[in-house]
Amino acid sequence: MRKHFLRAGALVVSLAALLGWLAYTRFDFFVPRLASEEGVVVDRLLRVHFFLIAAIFALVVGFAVYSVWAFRRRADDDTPGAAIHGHGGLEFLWTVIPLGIVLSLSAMGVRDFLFLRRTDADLTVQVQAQQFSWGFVYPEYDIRSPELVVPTGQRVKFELTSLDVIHSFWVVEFRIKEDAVPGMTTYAYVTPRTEGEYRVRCAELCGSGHANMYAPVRVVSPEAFDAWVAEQQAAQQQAASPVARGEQIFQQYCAACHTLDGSPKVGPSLNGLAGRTTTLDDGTTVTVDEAYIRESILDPQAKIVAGYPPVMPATFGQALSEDDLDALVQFLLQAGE
Amino acid sequence: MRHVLTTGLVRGLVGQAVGFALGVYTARAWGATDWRADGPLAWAAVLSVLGFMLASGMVSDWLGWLAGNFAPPRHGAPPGKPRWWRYWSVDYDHKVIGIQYGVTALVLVGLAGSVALIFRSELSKPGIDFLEPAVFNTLIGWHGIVMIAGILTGVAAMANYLVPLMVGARDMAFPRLNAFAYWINVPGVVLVVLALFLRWETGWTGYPPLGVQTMPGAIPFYLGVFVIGFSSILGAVNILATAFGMRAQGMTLFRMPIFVWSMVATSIIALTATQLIGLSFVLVVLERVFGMTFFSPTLTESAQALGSPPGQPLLFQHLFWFYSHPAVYVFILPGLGIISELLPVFARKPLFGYKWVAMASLAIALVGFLVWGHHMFTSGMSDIMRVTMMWTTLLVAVPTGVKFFNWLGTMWGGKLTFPTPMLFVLGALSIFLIGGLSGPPNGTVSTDLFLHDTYWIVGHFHATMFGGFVYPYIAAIYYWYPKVTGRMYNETLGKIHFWLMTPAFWTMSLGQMLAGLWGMRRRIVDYDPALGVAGLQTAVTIAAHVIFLSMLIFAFNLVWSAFRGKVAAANPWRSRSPEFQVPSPVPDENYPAPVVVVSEPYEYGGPEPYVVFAHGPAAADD
Amino acid sequence: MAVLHSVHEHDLPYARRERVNRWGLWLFLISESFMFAGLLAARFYLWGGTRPPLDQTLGLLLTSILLVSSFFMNRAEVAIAHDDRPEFLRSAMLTVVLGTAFLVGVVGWEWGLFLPDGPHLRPTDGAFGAVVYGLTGFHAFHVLTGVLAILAVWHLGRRGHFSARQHWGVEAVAVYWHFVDLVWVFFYPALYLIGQVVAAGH
Ligand code: HEA
Ligand code: HEA
Ligand code: HEC
Ligand code: CUA
Ligand SMILES: [Cu+2]
Repeated sequence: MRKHFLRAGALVVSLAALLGWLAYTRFDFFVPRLASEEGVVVDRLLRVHFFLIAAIFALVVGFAVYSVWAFRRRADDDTPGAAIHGHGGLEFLWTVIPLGIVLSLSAMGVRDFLFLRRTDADLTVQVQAQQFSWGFVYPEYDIRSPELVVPTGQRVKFELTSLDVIHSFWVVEFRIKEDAVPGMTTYAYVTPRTEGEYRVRCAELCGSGHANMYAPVRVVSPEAFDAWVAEQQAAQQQAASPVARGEQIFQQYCAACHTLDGSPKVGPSLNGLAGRTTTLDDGTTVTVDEAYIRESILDPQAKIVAGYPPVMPATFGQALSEDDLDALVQFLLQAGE
Repeated sequence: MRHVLTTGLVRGLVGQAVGFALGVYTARAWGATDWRADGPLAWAAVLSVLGFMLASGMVSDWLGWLAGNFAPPRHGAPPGKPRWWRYWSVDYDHKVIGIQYGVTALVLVGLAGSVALIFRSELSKPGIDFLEPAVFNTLIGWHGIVMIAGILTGVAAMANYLVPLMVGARDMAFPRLNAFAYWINVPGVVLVVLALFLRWETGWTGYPPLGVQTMPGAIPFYLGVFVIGFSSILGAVNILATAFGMRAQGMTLFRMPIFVWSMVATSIIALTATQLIGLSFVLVVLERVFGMTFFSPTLTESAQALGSPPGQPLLFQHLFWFYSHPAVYVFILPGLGIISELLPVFARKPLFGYKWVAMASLAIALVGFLVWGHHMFTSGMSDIMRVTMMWTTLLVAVPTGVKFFNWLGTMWGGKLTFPTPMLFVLGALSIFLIGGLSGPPNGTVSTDLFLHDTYWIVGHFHATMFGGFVYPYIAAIYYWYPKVTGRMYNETLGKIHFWLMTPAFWTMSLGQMLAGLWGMRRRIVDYDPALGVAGLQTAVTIAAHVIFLSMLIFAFNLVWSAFRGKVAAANPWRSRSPEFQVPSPVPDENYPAPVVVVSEPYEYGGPEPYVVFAHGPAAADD
Repeated sequence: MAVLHSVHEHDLPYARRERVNRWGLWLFLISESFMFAGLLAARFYLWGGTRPPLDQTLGLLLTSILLVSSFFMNRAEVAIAHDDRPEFLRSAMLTVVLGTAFLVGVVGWEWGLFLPDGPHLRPTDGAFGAVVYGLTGFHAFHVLTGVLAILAVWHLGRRGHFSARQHWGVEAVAVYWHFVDLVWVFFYPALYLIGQVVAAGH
């Protein structure tokens, strides 16, 4: 037995060392690009996990494989195996050692989690999720944008809300993910560190458009960020005309499902809307006027366009102010004329 | 043909259709215009289940009791019916019910697996090829829930067939309840199938508010799962009562076969936690049908006037995961029990650390109740809860590890042989190991913020479920096949099955995990080619087809051998377990005389047998 | 005349059969208590320290009715254990009446089916409505099944079933009834007593 033990031990230790070392040093193969300080912390612990997975897997499988080879029954050997019933000391060891490992993992998890959830922040971005698009509001600068632009080196606090169902805010390169839940505000903190273009990807099943619920993300230098802010503020000034404001709102809230080029998406295209005749699913027809457009936005289930599913959210009445709604309707009335 | 029409199954299905039609008809009479609206649909679904119950004969004995009619238990086909008839009708013999469960499980896994092939083909390259998003979302949820129903019925199959035999009883504690628990699954599954056609988009987890807003298929989905859960609860009552009340003379708790221990632990979970998934699903249905906003944060004007607080989406997740996490241990504990049961037989030596293995099952089950929040690390749950749930979650690794190390101890110094069941046991061990080890990264909250809802998780749970259920279940089928049918399966086909399935499985699971790490989200019909996962996805799809092919070989082996296999001996594996001490297939009343336990269950090479058959009157009555 | 044990299972002697049955019943009640605990958890999760204005008199009345009914159910069981069939039948019937009164109270007044201008709280009224109707609804359903079960043993008892030695059916129904009452003992304070009443209006 001692001979077997030494041999198996040697096999297991070398296998565990080899696999563990590979998992640890080849870690970059397993994970995508990294673009945030928080991600550094996540990756650090993940690397420890990978090392442990590789090592423990090698340990158990090493012993099993050795047994399969060394203790296979030889032909015409009909004797029973060794009459071993157990071993209290071993049981104790293989309870306590894993216990120590998992307690340490938890401790590291706490340490990292506290770091990730520190509440200090240099910039706040409100993230508004809805089926199937994202909107970003910068309350400090009074900007609303369909694109997320953040500067490097500043800790950004994301305040997440949802208009309809649960969505989840995730940028792979930031690592961090947090759900946007209707009826509550949730938080995530990210300090971008690598300039580049990324994507917000919705990570919670939210309906038919879930797969393509993206928003563009740009991480830029602080100077470029300031320039962008100034540019946006200027644009917002100019967009004082209702129609231009309406177009912005359209891009943020409606473009996920409606186009302005005549091609249908989730819902019908909205160009040349005013005055056209629409067939409803009960066979009747309506001529589109301002009242119909308003109703379609505020109470979309009231009249369903033939050939489309009744999936347009009924929440815009809450999301849009009176002014916003007017601007949007103004825009739609002239769109594609 | 005449006989087919009189089987309980056919009568039940007709009853279900009639019940459904009656529901639709009455709803119309009360002024509903569309039967697919939530109210009429829910009403019709409930009536349809009642219709099945009445028509199939599963409650007729109980109804008879009310009239003072105490019929003896039904065993065997009635006069004039062929032998197969009892397998398609209500019969109280636990072995028949076990086989009914077992075949149902294979059918469900087959259906859900076929659906997996459909959506896997869609995923093999980026872009939307042939599945509309709404159809895709329905299919993945259906795949998930039907697989889970398949696992639950598979677990019940093993429990029903084996527990009474292993404790030396003639039947379960409550044979009628047992039949009821099996048959109630059928209308439940029919409802879930209806959901497939009416569509719903939430996946198997059914989260509101999406679950409240999505297509009408949600109603039969929630209700069907509720009914299947009800079956689990009743099954658990029966198994615990059998294990505690029906043991043979001399079988102390620590002399029970280890599989019975694992079923005790499993049943503790199924008995209690299942209520909460049932509750959460019923509450969503109430919200859809009556507008009772448990989960949606919207308030009506009159609610505002009352000052009522709003509903909360997270409440559902707490209720749901309070079951659905422990449920994953329902999936694996029986499987781990099978591994512990078979290793000593094929190593020809005692189970290493029997008591530790038994207690580890209980520990996994009990700690499993305290960890549900690890599915909600990103949900917006409070930070304190997240950290607490991390500590408890990681603790589960300890008793699971104890099992692994005791298995290694069991193999050490044995005389190992490798027929097909043993191959699947070893496969299970290694696959469950990688599945289990991929758990702790999800369990530490900081890394889960990255991993949550990616294909890493998909890889994690396919590995745990294959290793913890699919492989052990297959091993159990091969191992007890001679006991059940009286014939031997074909060993060559069995080995081909194993050697096709195992590499394919590893490809699938590791491919999923890696794709997830590279950024592939779960539950998406279309993915971003920029992530670079297209190659992995193709590999996973091909692997899935190979798994399916290997399972077809398995199906062929099972069917063919039942007719053409070699006639099996009473104890082909030289096992000490009581069921192997009687002829194959097991006779109707199981044992010729009361069973008396005289030594330890796994004393291979020891001088005494585990059980003997007492002669004379039952001494077991105390 | 068939006695219950000949049904109740093939080869087990009555005493052992009864023990196994007890296992089954209590396990089932443990299971049910998880469901009710889930409902209570939902109440505390959604309402926290608030509650809607409910009719206190009605609440107290319903609670008393149910508690008294438990007393009579117990009497019925003791009676059959002493082979006192008439007393058993009387007490069981009284329990049925009280249970029905409870149901009528909940459905007729709390749910407003008998009130001329409907209930003051509707199921659609936010978490208040949902929880009140949810909890009372689940409980009322169990009361209903309990009433039906008592009726069943009453009916069998009238036809001469059950004896001092063999009355598992009565015991089971009685235990179930006490359980359903016990649940109300938790529900009543959770709905009617704990928390601040939110002032109506804004
Ligand atoms: C059979 C089913 C099964 C089993 C057994 C497990 C076991 C475990 N699971 Fe898994 N899990 C699922 C099925 C299962 N899981 C499913 C279906 C989901 C997704 C649900 C959905 O969203 O649809 C999921 C999701 C899931 C999540 C949520 C992920 C997310 O959505 O973000 C988490 C997080 O903690 C988790 C953790 C664990 C852990 C820690 C274990 C542990 O029990 C594992 C313990 C085992 C070992 C660790 C290996 C053996 C141990 C040793 C050899 C000892 C030494 C080891 C150490 C010291 C580490 N699982
Ligand atoms: C037991 C559980 C189980 C099993 C075995 C499987 C098996 C498979 N699963 Fe599944 N899966 C789940 C449980 C399971 N899955 C769950 C719970 C989800 C989550 C759903 C959700 O997100 O809501 C999921 C989700 C899921 C996804 C993620 C979908 C998404 O998020 O977009 C994917 C993608 O690749 C996938 C693929 C597969 C594949 C290719 C198989 C292959 O292994 C299938 C191969 C085929 C078979 C195993 C069947 C063969 C059987 C026969 C041919 C019958 C033989 C008949 C007799 C013997 C009589 N599954
Ligand atoms: C989740 C997808 C979705 C979003 C977001 C969405 N819609 Fe729609 N919309 C639809 C669908 C689907 C229809 C067709 C079915 C119907 O009539 O409800 C529709 C129909 C309409 C119609 C009627 C069109 C016709 O041809 O008669 C109008 C007008 C409209 N939407 C405006 C808007 C505006 C304005 C917004 C943004 C504030 C918006 N929608 C956001 C999905 C959406
Ligand atoms: Cu939004 Cu998925
Ligand atoms: Cu879990």
